[in-house]
Parts: sequence; structure tokens; C-alpha cells
Amino acid sequence: MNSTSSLVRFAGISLAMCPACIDYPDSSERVNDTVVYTFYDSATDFGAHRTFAISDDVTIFRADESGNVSREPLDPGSASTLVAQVTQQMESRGFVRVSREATPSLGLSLSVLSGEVTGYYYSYWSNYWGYYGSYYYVPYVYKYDYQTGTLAIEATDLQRADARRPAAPEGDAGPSVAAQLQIAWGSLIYGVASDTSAQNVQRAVEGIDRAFAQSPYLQAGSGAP
Amino acid sequence: MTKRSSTTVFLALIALALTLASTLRVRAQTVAPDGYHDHEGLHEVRDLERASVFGGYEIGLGSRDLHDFIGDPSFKGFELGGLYPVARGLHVGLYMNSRLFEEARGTTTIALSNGALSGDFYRYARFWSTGAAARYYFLRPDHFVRPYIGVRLGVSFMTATTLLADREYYETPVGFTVAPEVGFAFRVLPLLSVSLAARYDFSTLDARQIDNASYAAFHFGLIVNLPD
Repeated sequence: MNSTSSLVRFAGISLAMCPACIDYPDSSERVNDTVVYTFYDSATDFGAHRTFAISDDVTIFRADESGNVSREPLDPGSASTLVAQVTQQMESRGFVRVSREATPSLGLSLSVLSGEVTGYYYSYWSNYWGYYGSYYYVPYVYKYDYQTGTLAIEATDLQRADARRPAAPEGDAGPSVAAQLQIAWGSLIYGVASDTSAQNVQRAVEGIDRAFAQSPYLQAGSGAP
Repeated sequence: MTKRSSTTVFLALIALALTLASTLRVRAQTVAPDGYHDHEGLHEVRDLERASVFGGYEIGLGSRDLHDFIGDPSFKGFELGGLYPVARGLHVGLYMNSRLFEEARGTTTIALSNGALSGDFYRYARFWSTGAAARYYFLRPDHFVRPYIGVRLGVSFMTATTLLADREYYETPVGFTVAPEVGFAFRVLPLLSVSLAARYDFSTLDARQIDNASYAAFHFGLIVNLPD
């Protein structure tokens, strides 16, 4: 056999098996399935919390190509499914749901971020803005580059917010004085499409379960509610 | 791919090689090669050690930390090289090889400094190594089967990659490799042999989760003896 032709064959075989010809899946491919990010404030003692309130409404924040953001409510059926799942998970961790007026120690809100957006998620998109009119958020930022449908869950530490509330001026009842809201725990669940098909709602529900599963520190204290 | 299926593939390759070798051996015996005159009763065999080039496909199995990093075997690997005879049975030369371990683990959770991230998880470990090779062949060159032992000493490079959601982690350490090998060369044509070998590539490559990245390689290749 001609050694030159043999070498050519070797080269062909080697190129076919070329380990250098690696093709990494790009980030859009890697987020085809649901991606769940959870974070917490390291200064928060979850054991000091026992009660929570949660909004029954879920707002969709829809960004267009120019970056303008509009808001609209998620349909009540889907919203109630998502809120019920979060409530169930919180109660399974020992937290007790109370009304807003019952001075909860944690305030939870859900929102959906939608649109072909690469940018930054700012917590002040939350629908707590205006909900607890006397609070404002400490802006925190998480960079994301996912294309559609992100479900955001935020648990704010209302006890610490009250502690930070500046003293009201004399003669002022106080509600108009803003206090900082500290996000104690949050989750961004990517890959949840912005429409309300049953499949997407189911993906969101599974994402909620994963968010809590990867947050074992989220346990209520044993004190009375 | 599971270990069981990779073992099956490897055994199938060995069976294929042995079948090929035994088939071609008949042809090699019926066509007297130049320089190998086997006169009846005299056995005048010219003992020619020839310079050679070799190359082949390799399957890899990570060991220790590398196996923890990527559990799947590697089915993308090759080696090329050349050897020159310096003494009876002893050949020295150069080699280069490359290998890619890859694994897609599906949904996996990793801890972050203030939380966690879960999603589809991918890991890659790509190796390049080049350096000096030495190989000692037992038996005479005209034997159908020549067992051999060898060793590689070289420099090696690794790219260890972890991908999770939009997070990407890369490490590119450089180290040294020593790789003992044992194998068999089956002469199927006067200047062509099929080789089957096992090698252990021990390296000093360190990454965040890998100390001394090392693996076993199972080699299936060809050796071309260069003509005079």
C-alpha cells in the first residue's frame, strides 16, 4: 500500500473524529428548558419570619423592541394557579398567609417579564410598587439575556422595611413617608412563555417548585404568627 | 452513553480489528513481501526495523477527578505520530493526540454566592498533548503479531468548560503528561499493521474541580512502515 495514501486516510479519519471541532450549545439553546435562578439577602434571618402576604394579581411587564415597557394583568385563571403554587410552597415551609392588613413580615409578589429583551432586570418593576404605597425598593439588578417569559417572584422583608422607616415629621401620620424595602428572597424563572397556555402555566408551576427546592434556607421560624 | 454501551463498542471494535487482521493475514502470507524470503527449511528472514508513522482513533475513560467532572466516556479522540528505530525493537519519535470529553447532564443545580441556579448543564474537557514517544516492540518485525510497550512524555493543554444557562466557565491549564502504553501490532500487509493498545495518560493538569486530569485511552489504529 502506498504510504502517502495511508496518511491521507489517517488524516481523514482523524478529522472526522476531530475533538477540536467542538460546537458549544449557545446560550439560547441552553435556556430552551426552564432555567431557575434564586437569590437571597444574606442578612435576612428567615427564622425570624412567620407570616406572609401575597398579591392575588400577577402583572405582565411587556417590553417592545425600543425598550418601552407596558404592563397588563395576567389572566385571573393563570394568576391564581401561580399564586396558589407559591402559597402552597410557602405554607409547606411553615409560613402562614395573612392579609395585607395583618402586618405580615414578608410580602410576596409575582410578575411576568415578557419580550425580546436583553438587558437587566430591575426589581422596581415589581407590582409592589404602589401596592404598598409607602415603600420603595432598593434597586437591585440582575443581568439576563433570555428572550421570552420570565416569572419573577420576590419576597420582601417588611419587618426590616418598617424598622428603616424614617421618623415621621411631627403631625404627619406617616404613610406618606417612604421606607426602604429589602428583598429577602427572590427567584427568576426563565423559559416561561408570556402567553397563558396551559403548558406554559404548567412550566411556571414546575419552575416555582424548583425555585423553592433549591432554597432550603427558606423556612419559617417557630414563633407565633 | 453509558459505560456498558461504551464497553460494548470497544469490544466490537476489537472483534472487528481481529477479523480484519486475520483476513488480511492470509493475503500477507500468500503474497511474499519484498525483503521477507521464507525459504523452505532456511528461514532467511531479514530483520528490518523500519521508521513508521502511526495514527488512530481512541476512546477515553476519565479517571478520578476527571471522571467526577465528566462521567461519560470520550468517543472523540485521535493520535498521530512517527517513530524511528534506534535499536533492535526500540523506536523513538514524536506524537500528538487530542481528545474531547463531553457531557450533557440535563437539569442541574449549582450553588452561587447568594443563591442557586438550575438548568441544562453541559461540561467539556478538551485535551491536546504533544511530545516524545518511545516504543519497544517484542518479537521480530516479520511476526504477524508484535506486542509492544511504550511511554509518552509531553506537554499537555486542557480546556475545561462548564455551561449552565447563560453562565460560562472556562479554564485552560497547561501541564505535563506521562503516558505508559501496552499494545499489539498486527501485520496485515508488508508495510501496514493494525494496532490495538491501551494507554494511561497521567497529566499534571489542574483545574478548579480537577487535580491531575488523567484518563485511560483505548487505541485502534494503523502503523505504516516507511519503505527503504
